[in-house]
Amino acid sequence: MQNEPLKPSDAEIIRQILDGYINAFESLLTRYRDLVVNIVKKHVPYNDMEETMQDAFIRIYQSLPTFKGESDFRQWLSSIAVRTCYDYWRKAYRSREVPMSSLTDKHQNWLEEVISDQSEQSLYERGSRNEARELLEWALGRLSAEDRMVLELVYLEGLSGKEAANLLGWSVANVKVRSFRSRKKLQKILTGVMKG
Amino acid sequence: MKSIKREHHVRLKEALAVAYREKEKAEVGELWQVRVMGHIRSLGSLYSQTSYLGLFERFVWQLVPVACVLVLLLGVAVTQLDLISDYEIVKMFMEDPADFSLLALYK
Repeated sequence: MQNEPLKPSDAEIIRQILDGYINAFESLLTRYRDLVVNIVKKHVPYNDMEETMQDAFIRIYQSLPTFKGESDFRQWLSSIAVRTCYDYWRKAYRSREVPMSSLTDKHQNWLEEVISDQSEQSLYERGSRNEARELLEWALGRLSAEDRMVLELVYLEGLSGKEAANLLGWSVANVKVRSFRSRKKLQKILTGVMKG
Repeated sequence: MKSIKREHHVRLKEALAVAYREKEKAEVGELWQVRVMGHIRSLGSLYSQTSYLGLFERFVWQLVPVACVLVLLLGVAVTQLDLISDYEIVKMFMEDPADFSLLALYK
Protein backbone atom coordinates (compact mmCIF):
# COMPACT_ATOMS: atom_id res chain seq x y z
CA MET A 1 0.00 0.00 0.00
CA GLN A 2 1.36 3.38 -1.00
CA ASN A 3 1.56 6.11 1.57
CA GLU A 4 -0.32 9.29 0.81
CA PRO A 5 2.01 12.17 -0.01
CA LEU A 6 2.45 14.47 2.97
CA LYS A 7 0.51 17.67 2.66
CA PRO A 8 2.70 20.77 2.94
CA SER A 9 2.26 22.73 6.15
CA ASP A 10 0.72 26.20 6.20
CA ALA A 11 4.14 27.70 6.84
CA GLU A 12 5.60 25.98 3.76
CA ILE A 13 2.73 27.15 1.56
CA ILE A 14 3.08 30.71 2.88
CA ARG A 15 6.81 30.66 2.16
CA GLN A 16 6.12 29.51 -1.42
CA ILE A 17 3.60 32.33 -1.91
CA LEU A 18 6.01 34.91 -0.51
CA ASP A 19 8.69 33.56 -2.87
CA GLY A 20 6.42 34.49 -5.75
CA TYR A 21 4.56 31.24 -6.42
CA ILE A 22 1.01 32.68 -6.51
CA ASN A 23 -0.70 29.38 -7.37
CA ALA A 24 0.27 27.98 -3.97
CA PHE A 25 -2.43 30.23 -2.52
CA GLU A 26 -5.02 27.86 -3.97
CA SER A 27 -3.97 25.25 -1.39
CA LEU A 28 -4.72 27.70 1.42
CA LEU A 29 -7.99 28.65 -0.26
CA THR A 30 -9.10 25.01 -0.46
CA ARG A 31 -7.90 24.26 3.07
CA TYR A 32 -9.62 27.20 4.78
CA ARG A 33 -12.60 27.85 2.52
CA ASP A 34 -15.09 26.12 4.82
CA LEU A 35 -13.76 27.92 7.88
CA VAL A 36 -14.26 31.29 6.21
CA VAL A 37 -17.71 30.25 4.89
CA ASN A 38 -18.77 29.38 8.43
CA ILE A 39 -17.62 32.74 9.74
CA VAL A 40 -18.99 34.90 6.94
CA LYS A 41 -22.38 33.22 6.64
CA LYS A 42 -23.15 34.02 10.28
CA HIS A 43 -22.46 37.72 9.93
CA VAL A 44 -23.37 38.70 6.39
CA PRO A 45 -26.63 38.27 4.39
CA TYR A 46 -26.64 35.24 2.10
CA ASN A 47 -26.68 37.33 -1.09
CA ASP A 48 -23.47 39.13 -0.18
CA MET A 49 -21.66 36.12 1.23
CA GLU A 50 -19.60 35.16 -1.83
CA GLU A 51 -18.39 38.70 -2.43
CA THR A 52 -17.46 39.17 1.23
CA MET A 53 -15.58 35.87 1.23
CA GLN A 54 -13.69 36.95 -1.87
CA ASP A 55 -12.77 40.22 -0.12
CA ALA A 56 -11.63 38.24 2.92
CA PHE A 57 -9.33 35.99 0.88
CA ILE A 58 -7.87 38.93 -1.02
CA ARG A 59 -7.09 40.59 2.32
CA ILE A 60 -5.58 37.36 3.57
CA TYR A 61 -3.37 37.14 0.48
CA GLN A 62 -2.26 40.76 0.73
CA SER A 63 -1.60 40.45 4.47
CA LEU A 64 0.52 37.30 4.21
CA PRO A 65 3.83 39.23 4.42
CA THR A 66 2.71 40.53 7.84
CA PHE A 67 2.01 37.03 9.21
CA LYS A 68 4.95 36.34 11.49
CA GLY A 69 4.10 32.75 12.29
CA GLU A 70 4.06 33.42 16.03
CA SER A 71 0.26 33.10 16.24
CA ASP A 72 -1.97 30.28 15.04
CA PHE A 73 -2.68 30.69 11.31
CA ARG A 74 -6.34 29.64 11.73
CA GLN A 75 -6.80 32.33 14.38
CA TRP A 76 -5.05 34.94 12.23
CA LEU A 77 -7.17 34.01 9.21
CA SER A 78 -10.40 34.02 11.28
CA SER A 79 -9.68 37.50 12.57
CA ILE A 80 -9.26 38.78 9.00
CA ALA A 81 -12.56 37.15 8.02
CA VAL A 82 -14.37 38.70 11.01
CA ARG A 83 -12.89 42.14 10.30
CA THR A 84 -13.97 41.85 6.66
CA CYS A 85 -17.53 41.20 7.87
CA TYR A 86 -17.26 44.19 10.20
CA ASP A 87 -16.11 46.36 7.27
CA TYR A 88 -19.02 45.04 5.23
CA TRP A 89 -21.47 46.34 7.84
CA ARG A 90 -19.65 49.64 8.28
CA LYS A 91 -19.92 50.20 4.56
CA ALA A 92 -23.56 49.06 4.48
CA TYR A 93 -24.56 51.37 7.35
CA ARG A 94 -22.66 54.32 5.81
CA SER A 95 -24.43 53.89 2.49
CA ARG A 96 -27.70 53.06 4.31
CA GLU A 97 -28.02 49.75 2.51
CA VAL A 98 -29.07 47.81 5.60
CA PRO A 99 -32.32 46.01 4.78
CA MET A 100 -35.11 47.33 6.98
CA SER A 101 -37.99 44.92 6.75
CA SER A 102 -41.12 45.72 8.68
CA LEU A 103 -42.53 43.63 11.48
CA THR A 104 -45.96 42.11 11.62
CA ASP A 105 -48.18 40.66 14.34
CA LYS A 106 -46.57 37.24 13.95
CA HIS A 107 -43.21 38.66 15.08
CA GLN A 108 -44.80 40.28 18.11
CA ASN A 109 -46.60 37.04 18.89
CA TRP A 110 -43.34 35.09 18.60
CA LEU A 111 -41.64 37.39 21.08
CA GLU A 112 -44.45 37.13 23.60
CA GLU A 113 -44.65 33.34 23.21
CA VAL A 114 -40.92 32.96 23.86
CA ILE A 115 -41.11 35.03 27.00
CA SER A 116 -44.15 33.25 28.38
CA ASP A 117 -43.27 29.66 27.37
CA GLN A 118 -41.63 27.41 29.96
CA SER A 119 -40.65 24.41 27.81
CA GLU A 120 -36.96 24.17 26.80
CA GLN A 121 -37.78 21.96 23.81
CA SER A 122 -40.25 24.40 22.38
CA LEU A 123 -37.74 27.17 22.94
CA TYR A 124 -35.42 25.51 20.43
CA GLU A 125 -38.27 24.98 18.00
CA ARG A 126 -39.33 28.56 18.36
CA GLY A 127 -35.82 29.78 17.73
CA SER A 128 -35.77 27.84 14.47
CA ARG A 129 -38.83 29.58 13.11
CA ASN A 130 -38.63 32.16 10.35
CA GLU A 131 -40.14 34.84 12.59
CA ALA A 132 -37.18 34.50 14.95
CA ARG A 133 -34.62 35.09 12.20
CA GLU A 134 -36.61 37.97 10.74
CA LEU A 135 -37.03 39.62 14.12
CA LEU A 136 -33.34 39.20 14.93
CA GLU A 137 -32.29 40.69 11.57
CA TRP A 138 -34.71 43.55 12.07
CA ALA A 139 -33.37 44.32 15.53
CA LEU A 140 -29.70 44.01 14.47
CA GLY A 141 -30.40 46.38 11.60
CA ARG A 142 -31.18 49.05 14.16
CA LEU A 143 -27.77 48.86 15.78
CA SER A 144 -24.47 50.29 14.62
CA ALA A 145 -21.90 48.07 12.85
CA GLU A 146 -19.78 47.95 16.04
CA ASP A 147 -22.73 47.02 18.27
CA ARG A 148 -23.91 44.45 15.77
CA MET A 149 -20.57 42.65 15.52
CA VAL A 150 -19.90 42.57 19.23
CA LEU A 151 -23.44 41.42 19.97
CA GLU A 152 -23.20 38.62 17.44
CA LEU A 153 -19.84 37.42 18.73
CA VAL A 154 -20.40 37.71 22.47
CA TYR A 155 -24.15 37.55 23.03
CA LEU A 156 -25.21 35.17 20.24
CA GLU A 157 -22.10 33.04 19.63
CA GLY A 158 -21.06 33.01 23.27
CA LEU A 159 -17.41 33.98 22.76
CA SER A 160 -15.49 35.43 25.69
CA GLY A 161 -14.51 39.10 25.72
CA LYS A 162 -10.91 38.15 25.03
CA GLU A 163 -11.78 35.92 22.07
CA ALA A 164 -13.99 38.60 20.54
CA ALA A 165 -11.30 41.22 21.16
CA ASN A 166 -8.72 39.08 19.35
CA LEU A 167 -11.01 38.60 16.37
CA LEU A 168 -12.00 42.25 16.09
CA GLY A 169 -8.63 43.71 17.00
CA TRP A 170 -10.14 45.77 19.83
CA SER A 171 -9.15 45.94 23.49
CA VAL A 172 -10.91 43.57 25.90
CA ALA A 173 -12.27 46.55 27.87
CA ASN A 174 -13.76 48.05 24.71
CA VAL A 175 -15.45 44.75 23.84
CA LYS A 176 -16.88 44.39 27.35
CA VAL A 177 -18.26 47.93 27.49
CA ARG A 178 -19.70 47.75 23.99
CA SER A 179 -21.13 44.31 24.63
CA PHE A 180 -22.96 45.55 27.71
CA ARG A 181 -24.31 48.64 25.94
CA SER A 182 -25.35 46.79 22.79
CA ARG A 183 -27.20 44.17 24.84
CA LYS A 184 -29.13 46.95 26.57
CA LYS A 185 -29.92 48.52 23.21
CA LEU A 186 -31.18 45.20 21.83
CA GLN A 187 -33.38 44.68 24.88
CA LYS A 188 -34.79 48.17 24.48
CA ILE A 189 -35.52 47.55 20.78
CA LEU A 190 -37.27 44.23 21.54
CA THR A 191 -39.24 45.76 24.40
CA GLY A 192 -40.51 48.32 21.92
CA VAL A 193 -41.75 45.51 19.66
CA MET A 194 -43.98 44.04 22.35
CA LYS A 195 -47.60 45.04 22.31
CA GLY A 196 -48.49 47.66 24.85
CA MET B 1 -45.63 49.42 27.11
CA LYS B 2 -44.73 45.99 28.49
CA SER B 3 -41.23 45.32 29.71
CA ILE B 4 -39.15 42.16 29.53
CA LYS B 5 -38.44 40.77 32.99
CA ARG B 6 -34.92 39.85 33.96
CA GLU B 7 -35.57 36.09 34.04
CA HIS B 8 -37.07 36.23 30.57
CA HIS B 9 -33.89 37.70 29.11
CA VAL B 10 -32.16 34.31 29.35
CA ARG B 11 -34.97 32.58 27.46
CA LEU B 12 -35.02 35.28 24.83
CA LYS B 13 -31.25 35.13 24.45
CA GLU B 14 -31.36 31.36 23.94
CA ALA B 15 -34.12 31.60 21.35
CA LEU B 16 -32.32 34.37 19.48
CA ALA B 17 -29.05 32.41 19.60
CA VAL B 18 -30.87 29.45 17.99
CA ALA B 19 -32.24 31.78 15.32
CA TYR B 20 -28.74 33.15 14.74
CA ARG B 21 -27.23 29.68 14.30
CA GLU B 22 -30.09 28.41 12.15
CA LYS B 23 -29.13 30.38 9.08
CA GLU B 24 -29.45 28.60 5.78
CA LYS B 25 -26.66 26.27 4.77
CA ALA B 26 -24.14 28.05 2.67
CA GLU B 27 -21.53 26.68 0.34
CA VAL B 28 -19.39 28.14 -2.36
CA GLY B 29 -18.67 26.24 -5.53
CA GLU B 30 -15.58 25.58 -7.61
CA LEU B 31 -16.47 28.46 -9.90
CA TRP B 32 -16.19 30.86 -6.98
CA GLN B 33 -12.72 29.50 -6.17
CA VAL B 34 -11.61 29.89 -9.79
CA ARG B 35 -12.84 33.49 -9.75
CA VAL B 36 -10.98 34.28 -6.52
CA MET B 37 -7.76 32.73 -7.80
CA GLY B 38 -8.12 34.76 -11.01
CA HIS B 39 -8.39 37.91 -8.92
CA ILE B 40 -5.42 36.91 -6.78
CA ARG B 41 -3.30 36.30 -9.89
CA SER B 42 -4.27 39.70 -11.25
CA LEU B 43 -2.89 41.27 -8.06
CA GLY B 44 0.52 39.89 -8.89
CA SER B 45 3.23 38.24 -6.90
CA LEU B 46 3.82 39.25 -3.29
CA TYR B 47 7.52 38.66 -3.87
CA SER B 48 7.87 41.69 -6.17
CA GLN B 49 5.82 43.84 -3.77
CA THR B 50 7.86 42.85 -0.75
CA SER B 51 11.15 43.07 -2.63
CA TYR B 52 10.40 46.60 -3.91
CA LEU B 53 9.59 47.62 -0.35
CA GLY B 54 12.79 45.99 0.88
CA LEU B 55 14.87 47.76 -1.76
CA PHE B 56 13.31 51.10 -0.85
CA GLU B 57 13.99 50.52 2.84
CA ARG B 58 17.62 49.57 2.18
CA PHE B 59 18.07 52.67 0.02
CA VAL B 60 16.62 54.95 2.70
CA TRP B 61 18.81 53.45 5.44
CA GLN B 62 21.95 53.83 3.29
CA LEU B 63 21.28 57.55 3.11
CA VAL B 64 21.14 57.97 6.89
CA PRO B 65 24.96 58.36 7.46
CA VAL B 66 25.17 60.84 4.56
CA ALA B 67 22.30 62.84 6.07
CA CYS B 68 24.03 62.87 9.49
CA VAL B 69 27.32 64.13 7.97
CA LEU B 70 25.45 66.86 6.09
CA VAL B 71 23.68 68.00 9.29
CA LEU B 72 27.04 68.20 11.10
CA LEU B 73 28.67 70.17 8.27
CA LEU B 74 25.77 72.59 8.09
CA GLY B 75 25.92 73.06 11.87
CA VAL B 76 29.63 73.91 11.71
CA ALA B 77 29.07 76.24 8.75
CA VAL B 78 26.33 78.15 10.54
CA THR B 79 28.48 78.71 13.64
CA GLN B 80 31.65 79.63 11.69
CA LEU B 81 30.26 81.94 9.02
CA ASP B 82 29.23 85.46 9.93
CA LEU B 83 25.84 85.44 8.34
CA ILE B 84 23.71 88.55 8.36
CA SER B 85 20.03 87.99 8.13
CA ASP B 86 17.64 90.11 6.07
CA TYR B 87 16.08 91.26 9.31
CA GLU B 88 19.38 92.73 10.52
CA ILE B 89 19.97 94.55 7.20
CA VAL B 90 16.51 96.10 7.34
CA LYS B 91 17.08 97.05 11.00
CA MET B 92 20.38 98.81 10.16
CA PHE B 93 18.74 100.70 7.33
CA MET B 94 15.83 101.80 9.50
CA GLU B 95 18.10 102.99 12.34
CA ASP B 96 20.44 105.06 10.16
CA PRO B 97 19.06 105.48 6.66
CA ALA B 98 21.36 108.47 5.78
CA ASP B 99 24.68 106.65 6.21
CA PHE B 100 23.51 103.33 5.07
CA SER B 101 24.93 101.92 1.89
CA LEU B 102 25.19 98.41 0.69
CA LEU B 103 28.92 98.81 0.06
CA ALA B 104 29.52 99.87 3.66
CA LEU B 105 27.86 96.76 4.78
CA TYR B 106 30.33 94.52 2.96
CA LYS B 107 33.54 96.49 3.77
